[in-house]
Amino acid sequence: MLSLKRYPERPRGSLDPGLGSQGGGQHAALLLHGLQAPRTEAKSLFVSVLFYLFAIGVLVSALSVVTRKNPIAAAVSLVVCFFCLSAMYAMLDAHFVAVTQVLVYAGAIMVLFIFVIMLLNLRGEGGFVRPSLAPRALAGVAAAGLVGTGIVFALSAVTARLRADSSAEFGTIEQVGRTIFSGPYLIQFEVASALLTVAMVGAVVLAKRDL
Amino acid sequence: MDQIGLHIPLGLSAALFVIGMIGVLTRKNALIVLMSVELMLNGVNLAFVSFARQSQSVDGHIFAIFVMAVAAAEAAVGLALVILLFRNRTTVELDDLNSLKG
Repeated sequence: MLSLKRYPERPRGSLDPGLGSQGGGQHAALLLHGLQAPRTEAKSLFVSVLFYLFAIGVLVSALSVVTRKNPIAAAVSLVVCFFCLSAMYAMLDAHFVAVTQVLVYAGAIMVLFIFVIMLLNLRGEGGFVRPSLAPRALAGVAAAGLVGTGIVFALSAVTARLRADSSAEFGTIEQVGRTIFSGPYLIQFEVASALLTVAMVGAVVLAKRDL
Repeated sequence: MDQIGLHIPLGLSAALFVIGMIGVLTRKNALIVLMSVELMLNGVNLAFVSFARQSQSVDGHIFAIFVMAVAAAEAAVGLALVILLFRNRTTVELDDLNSLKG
């Protein structure tokens, strides 16, 4: 089902017919290979740098969500975080998840959040740590630190690198769709749609003034 | 991509989860607590997606999509509850909700 080539190979001769006719096909191919190796390396380096940049963007905006006083500022930071995450998903070959991240999270959920914040006309009061709340903040940070150290210890055993031979079809909308609709996930998918309907009805019933 | 260790996306997902957890445990504004829950869910999604790429199996993506569906449902119901709360008590600060003396 999956082919292991990342990109379809282009016929080398069509790129540079002059070289091919001069020094024999094999020689030209070798020469071109030598020319192309630094380019693919530079491209891979560029992708890695972008990956790290978006990772930093995710971290900074996530920290900003937790520390902002104003709920609107937190919501906008969360949107930035979702966009950076979507870029990372795209680089991890999860194309459909990347698109869904922007459409569902940055599009639907965050609009809902911002709509509610503006509807309630909230002022930004009570930031990250209030003096009288210090014990609770301390407890929260301590609990998170405990979980964090556990995860760091678990991660220190990971030595694998991201694989370079990801197939071109992996994570495309076609593959995801086929797996959902003709794979073992059809019933779960229907249950998820029922859940969304129930949540929608529940939200309307809860928020409606008098039914 | 093969210069990047698998621990980078996994560590980022763990960091997102822990940051969201700090938000849930320390903030008093109900809306920001809900946003922190979304951060935690996104951390889990990132781990799903990176493991899916590493094992070249698309099932992780489907799990991530299901998590998104559940997050959307949770956000809708949670925000409706916040609106209801604000209508009855004129506050969204979780510290003010102490009628049950928990």
